[in-house]
Amino acid sequence: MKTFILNIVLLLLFSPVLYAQEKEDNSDFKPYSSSVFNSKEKAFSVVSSMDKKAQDNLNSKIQSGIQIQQIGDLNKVKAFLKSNETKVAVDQNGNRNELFLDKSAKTLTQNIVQQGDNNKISDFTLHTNYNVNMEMIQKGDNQNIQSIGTNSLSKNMKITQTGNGASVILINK
Amino acid sequence: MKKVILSISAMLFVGAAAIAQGNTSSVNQVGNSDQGLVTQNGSNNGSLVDQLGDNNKSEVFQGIQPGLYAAKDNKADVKQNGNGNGAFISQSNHDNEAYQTQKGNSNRATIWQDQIVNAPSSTGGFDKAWQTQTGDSNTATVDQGTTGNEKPTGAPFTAAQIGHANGVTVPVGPHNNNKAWQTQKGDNNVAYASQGGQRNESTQTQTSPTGTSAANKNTSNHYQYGDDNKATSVQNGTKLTEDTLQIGNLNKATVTQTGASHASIAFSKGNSNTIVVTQTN
Repeated sequence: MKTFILNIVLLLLFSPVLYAQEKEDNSDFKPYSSSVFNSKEKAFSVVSSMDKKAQDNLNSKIQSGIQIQQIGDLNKVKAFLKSNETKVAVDQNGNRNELFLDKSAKTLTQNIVQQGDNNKISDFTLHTNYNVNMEMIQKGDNQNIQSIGTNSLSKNMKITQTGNGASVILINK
Repeated sequence: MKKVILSISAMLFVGAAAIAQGNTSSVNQVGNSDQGLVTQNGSNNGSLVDQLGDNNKSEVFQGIQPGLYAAKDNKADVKQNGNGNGAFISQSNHDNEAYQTQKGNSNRATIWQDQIVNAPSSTGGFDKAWQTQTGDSNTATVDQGTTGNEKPTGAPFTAAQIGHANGVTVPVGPHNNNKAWQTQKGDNNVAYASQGGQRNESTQTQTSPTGTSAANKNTSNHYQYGDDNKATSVQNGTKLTEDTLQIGNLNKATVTQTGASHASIAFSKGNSNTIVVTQTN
């Protein structure tokens, strides 16, 4: 009898917990809750290395020099570049997007796209002797990429982020 | 003797053209097919033209339609020294100033300020523009106003960007406080500034160091439509080009290029956008 009563008590005691857990399962993000995590958009980040073909494609579609296009309000681009051959294309479409690009490389080919609001990219390399081919694409809001330094892995890197609130931080030693 | 007669005739023509009292004009011409034409309407206008040698030509108009616009306090200073130079200044409205100084080699400079069609008489116009060119096939043009205001028509801007520029209504008025100074030294430099709106600024400085290759072609163009836009370019080197097109208000573009064959294209459409580019080699 004692065992039966104990089982009943335990069942009553844990039933609210089970209910609460089940209710939490219905939320978009289980462990956290905020305006960003509760968004219907799913953040998606891909960091990959470009093969030779992708590098050639990137080089062919960007013309020499730096081309910057900003459509929207309060966008910022600060680019400080030093290389023997520079091919940089920047496209910011939205509001309050920011790009800080400070790079010294042997050659530099880079495509940067930010579509949405409040996106930020900070890419800094004091000096590298690599031929750099990079692509950074952010589509969504409140996304962030920080890249510091360049090494053999990151010199041909492509970073793509979609959704809201995604963030990638790269420290290339 | 022919030169003297030509100079005297030009001065007489200037004297006849300057209608209202208080206008001042001085033209000095020495050598080789020079021409000077100054027309001043309004009050307190001033014009100085000094030309020396080789196919120079200068035209200065100040206060084109004084019956419609109070054209006063305009100033124009043109100095040309050698080799097929041509200078043109046309100013209307209030308080404009324009100086052009050219030395050597096929230079040409043009300044338009407030070419306003059917604008109200209360339209302002505190425009300032001075251009300095020294050497080698340079061309510098400043349009601050309307009818002389050109738009980019193609490369290096994309078709979509040209479409945005075509969407801007020109003439854009009224005009106030536009500023443009352009300085070029050496090689085959080209500078162009076009501003429509109020309180815009444009500064272009191009310097090509000695010893650069023959294919030098520094080019810097600013197109700004809107209010309170600023564009600054400083270039020093070989084959540098820079093009800035800003549509909207409070946009800023600053480009500094030093060294070999850099290029920069900056396009902003909207408000309060900022572009800073520094390239060094």
